[in-house]
Amino acid sequence: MMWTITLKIARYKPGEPARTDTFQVSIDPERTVLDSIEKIWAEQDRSLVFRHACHHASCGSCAMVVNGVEILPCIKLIKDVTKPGGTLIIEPLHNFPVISDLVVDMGPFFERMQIVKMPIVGPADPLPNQEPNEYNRFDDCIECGMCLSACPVVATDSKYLGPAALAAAYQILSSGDGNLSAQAWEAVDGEHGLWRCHVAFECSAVCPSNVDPAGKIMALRRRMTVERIRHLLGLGSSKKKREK
Amino acid sequence: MTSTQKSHSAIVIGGGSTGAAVAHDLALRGFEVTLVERGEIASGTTGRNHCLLHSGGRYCVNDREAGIECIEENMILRRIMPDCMELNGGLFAAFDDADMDYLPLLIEGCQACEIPYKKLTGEEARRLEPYLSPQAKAALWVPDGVFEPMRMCMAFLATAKANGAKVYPFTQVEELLMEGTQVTGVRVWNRIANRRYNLHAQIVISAGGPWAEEIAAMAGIDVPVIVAPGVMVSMTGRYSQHVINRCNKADDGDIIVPQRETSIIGTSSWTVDDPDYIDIPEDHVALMLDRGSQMIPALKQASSRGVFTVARPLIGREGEDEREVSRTFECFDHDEDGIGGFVTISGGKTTTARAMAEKTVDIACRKIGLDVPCRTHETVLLSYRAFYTI
Ligand SMILES: Cc1cc2nc3c(=O)[nH]c(=O)nc-3n(C[C@H](O)[C@H](O)[C@H](O)COP(=O)(O)OP(=O)(O)OC[C@H]3O[C@@H](n4cnc5c(N)ncnc54)[C@H](O)[C@@H]3O)c2cc1C
Ligand code: SF4
Repeated sequence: MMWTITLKIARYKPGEPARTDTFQVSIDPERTVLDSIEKIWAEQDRSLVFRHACHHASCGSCAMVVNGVEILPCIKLIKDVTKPGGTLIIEPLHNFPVISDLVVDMGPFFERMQIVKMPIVGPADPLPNQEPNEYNRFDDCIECGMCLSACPVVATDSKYLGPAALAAAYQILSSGDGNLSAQAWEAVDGEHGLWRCHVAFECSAVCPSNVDPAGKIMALRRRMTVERIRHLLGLGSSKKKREK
Repeated sequence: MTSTQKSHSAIVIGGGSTGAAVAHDLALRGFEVTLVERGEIASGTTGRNHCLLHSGGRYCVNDREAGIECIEENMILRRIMPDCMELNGGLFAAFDDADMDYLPLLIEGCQACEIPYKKLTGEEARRLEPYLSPQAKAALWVPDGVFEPMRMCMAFLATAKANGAKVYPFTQVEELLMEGTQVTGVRVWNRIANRRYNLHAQIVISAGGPWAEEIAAMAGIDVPVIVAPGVMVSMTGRYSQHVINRCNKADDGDIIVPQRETSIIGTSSWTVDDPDYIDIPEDHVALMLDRGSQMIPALKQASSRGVFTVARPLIGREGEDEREVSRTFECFDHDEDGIGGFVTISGGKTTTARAMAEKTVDIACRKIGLDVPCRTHETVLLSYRAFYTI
């Protein structure tokens, strides 16, 4: 079974005015939104640029805004976002500089992730009934940038560290021997750090990987408040106490 | 040629694992490097593969050359890119008599290729991996791993950029520039700016994967590539820490790769003409679920997160059985076809990308009379994040 659907795709090339192009594509509704875009590129318009690699929600590169909501199009089935004859409005991530069409500049985002230095691989929890062992796995956060696109604070403060990096900071602090560098502390606790968050929870709503950045930012705030009080009282960091 | 004043220059076509590793090797050996990729980095075969850092166990019985390459490269990649991998080993699990008959062949193959292994009883295997089917009779532990292919390419390219390489995604080669029988550069379409221009270098290296045939044809050369896709099904939930392989000869749905919170079942194999957009045969998805749940029955109840497919670039002639074609790689110095300044590297695996690059850059050096040893096996790569920030 094939559906014919319409995609209205935001187009932009440097030096040219932005526009919207409309494409019709015939596609199996069991395939993904990303497949429909790749099909348009393959069959109709080779000048269309978009980011994609893994097609299974691991690389984080294909994130975009579809019908006003941040999604990872590689795991969104056509049948779950539209109906036969339906229309999808496709835009690049918000709050990122657009390079061309659906491609945004991830540089500033990765600079922030690099300041906090979220470890990419960490310990894996044992599965039910599994003998304890030192298994490892990739972190949940796939660094897709969707949380920044959805965040109302990023929209007004382009220097805001953002949900993903703040969540990563909390994760580092709460892990066994976690410690943040002085540079990371400064960024997290600074003018554009965690106190800017308005608690809109948009980030957690769009995160495709169950990171719950908003929940982690709240926990990080509690943690920092305790740290500050201890600091004022001259008690030093609470961290040492936590280590067994 | 440019302000960097390097005396040797190369253009690499393709930003998959092969092209990324080639660019890194060239930059390390002092070349002025320009890599052009028509889409995003790793948007071809590499990004969409099964993410298995092969131990060589899958090949050691029938294709010893590929088995040896895999284990050697597996050990090197662990050292040079630790933050791109989940390293929890793999099991070849035997569930029926035919699988048990294959086990001694597998052990013999591992010995011949020097792949470390450990034999486990069914009970021991199930203690390690409780979701494994109770039918498991025995298993062989091997040093399989799991990578994130895009991040792997980024790590190679971040390091290449730090060593002066220029990397241009969304830049498609439309023409090979020729002076007589010498390739002198490429004409590209920069799809970001929607502009066309020429780039020149002493050597052009095509790392076009399944598109290598199309690229070589631009110089009138025939490179035989069989385009053989496979389907993978990504299931919600992690059901093992080890990679779970079926202890039998390569077949559909014979492997489950855990990655983050998913389990990826794969793969199948057939052939197509055009790798640009591949329709997924519906029965392949059901086959993956069926075969995967024979090894891990809980997958029957799990929900699918997505289905994807991509084409292998196998070196061989049309009509050969694609499962029988060797999974090793081949580097073509097109001097042999009467065309100078042009090399094609294709076949292989992401696991063996570094070795493929070493051989290719050895050939490139020989062609221009340069004697610089390869150092990629001992050079720890930068974080992939640096790709975006350099
Ligand atoms: C289903 C499947 C599963 C696999 N699983 C594994 C696995 O688990 N582990 C493993 O090690 N290997 C695996 N492989 C093999 C591995 O993925 C490939 O061997 C490897 O990715 C090939 O890399 P490449 O760089 O040569 O090709 P590609 O990644 O395809 O790179 C070629 C690049 O060239 C670009 N290109 C094409 N034409 C042009 C042009 N005109 N101008 C500019 N750029 C161009 C393409 O966009 C593409 O990105 C698998 C393969 C398949 C098909
Ligand atoms: S926290 Fe979630 S939404 Fe934000 S970058 Fe990470 S995976 Fe993406």
